[in-house]
Amino acid sequence: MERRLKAELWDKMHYLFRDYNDRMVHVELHYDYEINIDAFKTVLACFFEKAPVFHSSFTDNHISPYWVVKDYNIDDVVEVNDIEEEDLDHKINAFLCQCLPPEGDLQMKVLILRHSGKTTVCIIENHMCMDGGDFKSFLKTFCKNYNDYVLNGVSPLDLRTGSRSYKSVYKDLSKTDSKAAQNLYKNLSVKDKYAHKFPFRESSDEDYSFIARRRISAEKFPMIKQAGKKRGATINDMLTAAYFYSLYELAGFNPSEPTTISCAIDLRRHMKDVSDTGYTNQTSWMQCRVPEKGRDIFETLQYVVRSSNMFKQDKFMGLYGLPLLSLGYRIMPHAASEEIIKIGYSNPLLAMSNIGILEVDKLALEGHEPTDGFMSGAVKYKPFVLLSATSMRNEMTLSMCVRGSDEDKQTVNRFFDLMEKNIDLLIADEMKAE
Amino acid sequence: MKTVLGFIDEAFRQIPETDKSYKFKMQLVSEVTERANELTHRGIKDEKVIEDLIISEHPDIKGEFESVLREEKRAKRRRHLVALNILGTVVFCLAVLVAFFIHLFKVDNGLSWIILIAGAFALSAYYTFIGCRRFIKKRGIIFHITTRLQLAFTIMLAFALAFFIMLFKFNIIHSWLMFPAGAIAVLACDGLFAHFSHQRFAVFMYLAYIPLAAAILYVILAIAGIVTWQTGWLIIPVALIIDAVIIAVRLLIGKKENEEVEEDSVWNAD
Repeated sequence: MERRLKAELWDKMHYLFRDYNDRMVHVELHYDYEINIDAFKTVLACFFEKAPVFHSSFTDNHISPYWVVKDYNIDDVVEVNDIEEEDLDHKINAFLCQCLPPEGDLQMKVLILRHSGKTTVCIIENHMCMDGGDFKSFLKTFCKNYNDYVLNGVSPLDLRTGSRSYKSVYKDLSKTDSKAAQNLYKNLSVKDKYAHKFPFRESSDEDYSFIARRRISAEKFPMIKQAGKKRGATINDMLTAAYFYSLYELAGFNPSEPTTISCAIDLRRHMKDVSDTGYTNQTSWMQCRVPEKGRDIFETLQYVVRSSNMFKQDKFMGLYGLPLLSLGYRIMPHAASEEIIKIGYSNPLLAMSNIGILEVDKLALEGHEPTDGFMSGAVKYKPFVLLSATSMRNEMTLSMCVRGSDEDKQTVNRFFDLMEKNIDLLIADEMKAE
Repeated sequence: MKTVLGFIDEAFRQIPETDKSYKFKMQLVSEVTERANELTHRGIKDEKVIEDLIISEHPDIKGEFESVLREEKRAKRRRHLVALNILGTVVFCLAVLVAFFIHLFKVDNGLSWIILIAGAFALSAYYTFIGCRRFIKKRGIIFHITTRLQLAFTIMLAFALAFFIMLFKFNIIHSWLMFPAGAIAVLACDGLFAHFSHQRFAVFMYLAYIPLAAAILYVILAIAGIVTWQTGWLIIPVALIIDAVIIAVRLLIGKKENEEVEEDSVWNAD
């Protein structure tokens, strides 16, 4: 008899996002030695056994969708290739830009590339299974289990399991807060009358998926932190300000018009302990709005700080609309609720996700810390964009996954040039002091 | 597989040896063997890992066995209850039919069919009680539509029975007013059901039902001559005032809860 898993609220929501993105989360890690492939496969197979959603197929039942657990072989999940150094980028891009259909049997795939005594690990997973926050946690747990297994012979079974329900966000709130949060029916979707978009070309048949990246050197990271501290801004605020300003410059928006960027927020901030929850999605959006471009980037930064502080003061930050979504999915058959939710939900045209620090000590395998790496969100379909930011050893990687043309790629790279220029403006004082 | 089998043996030392425990143990051994084959097929080569993984999937064998026993008992009880209900229903129907025919042939006062209606009412009330008891603790938005319809049907049957008795036994002219009165009872019971089953939107049901019930009550009382048509309509504005009071009370409760939330957050702040 087939084994079924319940499709949780965020599974259904991310399935609905199929119109806006390819739902893949990407990660790339470089190690300066050859990892133990058999151990890697054993650890991953054990994790697949503990979290069966990764080897399940999503069934879009019109009444109530669900996951069906499928049989698999770990060799179908992990592909190992020995390659020449010059083929590395091509292989990585080809792998990361693929899309795993939710109806397929596997929701995660790994490519291990061995080249000149080094190893590159690339992983893609379906966002319906877990978000960037949990994926980071998954990777850290993976590395810990791998090390314990290889170095001490401990079986790799230490993966947290439990409920994947969105309701876990309420479990650590006080009784009254929890009750109040479960009555937040307000729809906080972006309703920007100017509907500012990233200046892409019209979609065409030649569009393909690509991941554009830009590295911000490690020396600049403490400067961004320091400059932000002086102005009461976080690194996230600094990046968002640069994002806004660069967009106004790139797209030529009217400087007196307001613009909104949706910033992803991890709802686990409301949870004290996640050890009894399964890997899932717990992400919402915070709308960061600037009323105008600002005379200079510092004024834009002030607007950003004001906007984000306003959100941070709200103790129910990110929890709005969840009861409404849940209600939508409960009272109607899935096919109907999808259509109704699509009407009420407006996917952010401009978004940012600060995935945060990839801690090298926690991602080390057999004492070898990753030399390089990054993580990014899904490939967005035009006109939607998502800027992902991760940092490793203080080196920040900005990435944008887009389905577009070569010209769009050039536009994204021009945007990154502007981002760099504007970040430099924000840290100009600190650079001078150096 | 030695470790897993040893683990199972160890666990079964705490379980008294019976036919059931032996059967469960054999089933478990077969399950873990199958699981080990599955894990090997999936690509885990290290036997120790396979064994540890299987053991981690059965942390409390004694508990598993007890839960199987409990489930068996529950299923048996359920089967007995279903059989008893079917048998009881058949016996009851036969008894009603016998009573009906005896009354028809012995008394024959033209009221024998009331026995049939009373029987149908009793049966419907019994199954409504079972349905309500089963579903009342569950929450939902469009909640328990079958049970609610069953409840409404039972109430209307009871009022129909009352109507026939009033009309044919006591010859009361306005007996038919039992039907609109039944509608009021249906609304009241539906509202109470929503309240006791803690439906989130129960308040909207009260707000809709109260004026509706008041309008029907006005018609009943006016036809029965208890109030006049000219003054009786005041029942409807009174119902609207009750609605307003309910809204005000709900808002006050909501405000109080919000204040409690504020206090809590101050208390919980770092």
